[in-house]
Amino acid sequence: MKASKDQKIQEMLEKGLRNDPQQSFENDDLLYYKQLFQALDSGQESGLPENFAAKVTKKIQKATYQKQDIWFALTIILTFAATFGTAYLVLRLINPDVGSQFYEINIRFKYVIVLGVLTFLGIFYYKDKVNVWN
Amino acid sequence: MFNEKDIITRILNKDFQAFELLVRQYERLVFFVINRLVHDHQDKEDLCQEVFIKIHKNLYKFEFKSKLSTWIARIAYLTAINHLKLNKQEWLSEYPDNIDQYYFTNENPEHTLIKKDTVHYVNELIQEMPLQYRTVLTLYHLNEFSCLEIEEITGIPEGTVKSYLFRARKLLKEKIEKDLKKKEI
Repeated sequence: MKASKDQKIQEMLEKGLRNDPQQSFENDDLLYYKQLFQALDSGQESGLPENFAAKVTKKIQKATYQKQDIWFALTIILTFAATFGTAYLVLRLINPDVGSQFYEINIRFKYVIVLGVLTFLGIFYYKDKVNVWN
Repeated sequence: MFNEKDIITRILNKDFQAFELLVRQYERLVFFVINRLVHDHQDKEDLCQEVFIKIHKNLYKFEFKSKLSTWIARIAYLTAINHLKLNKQEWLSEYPDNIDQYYFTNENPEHTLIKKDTVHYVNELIQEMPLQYRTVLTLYHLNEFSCLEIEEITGIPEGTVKSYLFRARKLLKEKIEKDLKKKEI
């Protein structure tokens, strides 16, 4: 009986019939339910900072650009490596001596090549850092 | 006017301004869900950020089969649930054997019951309720989802959603009634 009365009041308030003159419920029940519905429906304040949207967007933007930069840097490095490898194989096929010379020259300058690759990656790392500071 | 399709298309074309608009549009929805389900204050902003990062990452999967708000609320709900599971804060206790036997035992928020501030008082009471009750009350009243949409978001059957909603409101009403009467005495 009580449950069904509660149900009726809740249904009535859900439908927005807050001032239904036909209501035959105890005034107290209706009053408390009305208060409750008003409290439940009243909007809460967002506890997020004002700049939340900008902050999240910036974070996602940074992550997206970083990912793109990493892929770009890897593509460049792999292209160089593939070019060197192909050149070496082609030279070996044409003339094995020239191929060996080409390999030796590259080995002789290995530190320069490694330094070049590291500098290249460093530039990307520095660029990302600058973006973070900005 | 917020046009979902247009905004999503722009975001998928790497327009970050469009994404910021989306965040502004739904930050309250996400916050309400996280705020009601997670008690830890420090984690709330981080979790909201996590929700939007997931939204950005998975937006291409959204097929317009439901409202965008329903899809976003589901991500927020699942993120909060995962957080609770990982932290084991209240997850086990949030599924009592018989949820219908739940009643308020903590009398602490009583002192905050001032007639003018029923909203604050009701919010405190809701924070004490089991997870399922908090979830349906938040999604239904604050975010204005229908029971069917709440089923889509949480996976709780529509009938159970209605039952939780009814029982939660009845419990709150009885508690308010009891406290107000006590105050009058």
